[in-house]
Amino acid sequence: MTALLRLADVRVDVQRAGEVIPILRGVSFDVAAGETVGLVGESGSGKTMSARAIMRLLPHGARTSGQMTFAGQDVASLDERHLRSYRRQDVAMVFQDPLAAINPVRRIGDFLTELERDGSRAERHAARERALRMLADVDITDPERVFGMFPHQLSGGMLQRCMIAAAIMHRPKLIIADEPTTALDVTTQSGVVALLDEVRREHDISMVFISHDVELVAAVCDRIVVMRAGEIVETLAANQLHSDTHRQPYTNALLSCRPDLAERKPRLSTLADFGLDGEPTVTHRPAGRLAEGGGATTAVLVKTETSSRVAAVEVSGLTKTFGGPGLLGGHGRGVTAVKDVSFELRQGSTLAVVGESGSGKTTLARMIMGLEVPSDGSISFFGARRPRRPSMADLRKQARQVQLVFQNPYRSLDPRQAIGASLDEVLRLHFDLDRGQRAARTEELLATVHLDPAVASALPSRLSGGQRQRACIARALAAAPQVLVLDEAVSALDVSVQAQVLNVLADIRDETGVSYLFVTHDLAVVRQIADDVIVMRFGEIVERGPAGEVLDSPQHEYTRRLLDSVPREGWKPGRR
Amino acid sequence: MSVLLVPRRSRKSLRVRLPAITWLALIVAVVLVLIALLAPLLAPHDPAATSVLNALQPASGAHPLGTDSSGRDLLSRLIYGSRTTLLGPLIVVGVSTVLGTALGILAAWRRGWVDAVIGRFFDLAFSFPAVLLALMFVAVLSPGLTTAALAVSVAYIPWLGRIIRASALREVNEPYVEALRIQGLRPLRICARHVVPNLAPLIIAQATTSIGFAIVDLAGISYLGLGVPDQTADWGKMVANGQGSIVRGHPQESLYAGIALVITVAAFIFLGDALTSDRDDDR
Repeated sequence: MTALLRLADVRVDVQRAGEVIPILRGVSFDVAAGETVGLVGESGSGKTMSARAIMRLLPHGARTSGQMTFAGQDVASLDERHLRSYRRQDVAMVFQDPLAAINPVRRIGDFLTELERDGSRAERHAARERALRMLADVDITDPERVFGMFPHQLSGGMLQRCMIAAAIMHRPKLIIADEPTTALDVTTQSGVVALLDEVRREHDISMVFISHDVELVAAVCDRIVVMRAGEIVETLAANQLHSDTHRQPYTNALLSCRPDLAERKPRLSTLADFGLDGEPTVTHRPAGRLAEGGGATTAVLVKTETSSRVAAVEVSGLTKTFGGPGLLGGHGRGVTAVKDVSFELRQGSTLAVVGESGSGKTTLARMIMGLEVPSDGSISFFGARRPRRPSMADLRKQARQVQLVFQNPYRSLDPRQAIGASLDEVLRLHFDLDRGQRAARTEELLATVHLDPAVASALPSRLSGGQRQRACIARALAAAPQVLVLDEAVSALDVSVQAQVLNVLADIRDETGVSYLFVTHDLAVVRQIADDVIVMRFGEIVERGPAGEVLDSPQHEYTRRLLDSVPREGWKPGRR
Repeated sequence: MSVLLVPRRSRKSLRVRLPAITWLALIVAVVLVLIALLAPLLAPHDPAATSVLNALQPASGAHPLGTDSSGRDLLSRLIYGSRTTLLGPLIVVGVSTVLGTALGILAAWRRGWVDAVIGRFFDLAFSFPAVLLALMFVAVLSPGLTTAALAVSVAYIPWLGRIIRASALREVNEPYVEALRIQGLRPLRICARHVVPNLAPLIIAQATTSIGFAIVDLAGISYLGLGVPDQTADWGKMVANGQGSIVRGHPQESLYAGIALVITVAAFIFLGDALTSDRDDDR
């Protein structure tokens, strides 16, 4: 079999502040005609850089060495004119975030026929015809209408379909799909991936499919290239991913750090369990110290009385309508993000709120925290009703009971405040402690989330994503709350880091009896950590019950669809 | 104030290699400040001492840059003139930065009607040029450096305020600000301790750039005779005083003062630019 694309010892360095940083350290793989190769790895593994190197879209100042050939031709030697035709006719790219990758002020039709815009009348007409056919090919039911629409009028899934249509417009020989479904909901992901696979087969196109999700890659690809820190760990046949007994430890770790949809694991494995170094920059403590870290929590947190019958959080008839009729009686209809939601979070238990984007789960969490004013309904903590518009004193009282951990750890810490100072500020606000006591507590809190005491003096930018999220959890714990609201708190993290954070959360719960309200779209995470679950759709609760029951025998059709869409061993994406 | 952050920032900037022009601007600015501080030691003559017999002398050993139409030593007047030339803009930048930052952040934090009122105030202040405001201030208060500087400050508030508001708007919507809010932290504290430090690079850059513009505006006001008292040495005033002598073939006074102004303004504007462009790498 001849290779369509061949990378041989490709190295990429970038210079940053006078330092040469290797991004790819000798990457070699082939893609045969008609083959689909998956690149899988965590952030920083170099998978996106590999894609960019293939497209010659490397950042300014990057230096490349090694050989890269496409159909026998050296990609590095292409001049500007040939490079354009290479990108136009040979290789097409599907980007991660379609909303960011499509010019927002141009119509979908313009985006699809951009290349023929300067052509003759006949050429433009032909391009239009072909674009409409392509849109039909990617399951868009009304191509004529979509052709004239702007990107913001379409959903993420529809847009990604348009991007795939654009990618196949010029009959490329290779499609590079860089995390094409990461920005999409899980049900949409299934459809888009199935479509991509089908279109690829139909037009006989090879594909490089990049994702952080091993199971997804295994379902789509013929071969899997596992990458880590700019190097290839190993290459596996996709159908032998689970049966291969000689897998590298890192591949094993990628597979088993994930929570399992089918059953709860006693404890998630982390990279350390596979003899791999967790985070290159710091502070990962060996597993043996977990108990010690856990022991510190009791000193920090007040052990909650779980015997009490009062619910930790009680929400009743909660409704939020955005942009209703204005003050002057404008006729805005308003969007109901959350509609008549009621539930109780029992003390010491974990309640998961599951739903896709637009289900209202984040709005719900924000209302509970007082960041959004409910249109209707009530919120009570431990039997005491919180005013709809909390005052400063209410917020301060609430902070001692309920705390929030945000989705994005990169933006929820003050970038100019050291971690220790962040914790100290919260401690000073809520407790009457002297400087020494606060320093001791800061250290205890960091130990609780398994962070090194040295982290206290570091600015957030010095920490990895997982460390930052643990620092955020430590800050949330600083006020010794009895309830933690976690808004997609592990969604932005790599699987190995996610495992660490989930383990830390389980430890804290076991030690202190704190209750979690766990907002997530990831059903495997629900299985791993939740006692009860609420499934939301379009702002309403469609199903609720004990997590095990709901996941094992879902009653609502939507819950079933959610479950079917989760990539797992033996899973195949479906177009509907 | 935000000045506390300067050491941290400059340490960072020095680690990154600065372009030659920034170094030059920095050196010029430092030398100017030293000249202003050490004026009594550096000036060879009393800048106010007139001597009709020595009027319009060319450069000589006794008067390195010659004398003006009243026989006053030009070098000494230039040296002393640096004091008002730097002091005025310092007042302007101090007042307009503090008020502009406060109003900008207040508007961004409160939004709604507060934002609207502050926005209209900015529009209003924008519609009066600094010189026109100075005329009004002088008419109401007594003429002088402080009056002129206050007038220019008012004219600069919307300029800084708008830029700060735009950036503060983005900043106050960051999750970290929400995280602090739900701790029950007072808004004033969040703004002062978290938002301002995060905007500090922008604030410092804008303030530095506006020093340059303030020098020009204040010199213009002095030129019109609305700023410093007549006897005080001031570059803007020197340009005006020297005008009569230019036609008589003695351009020195206006020329030297003009050159001094150009160099000073350029130095501060280059510095401001360097700080602004450096800001992007900050996060």
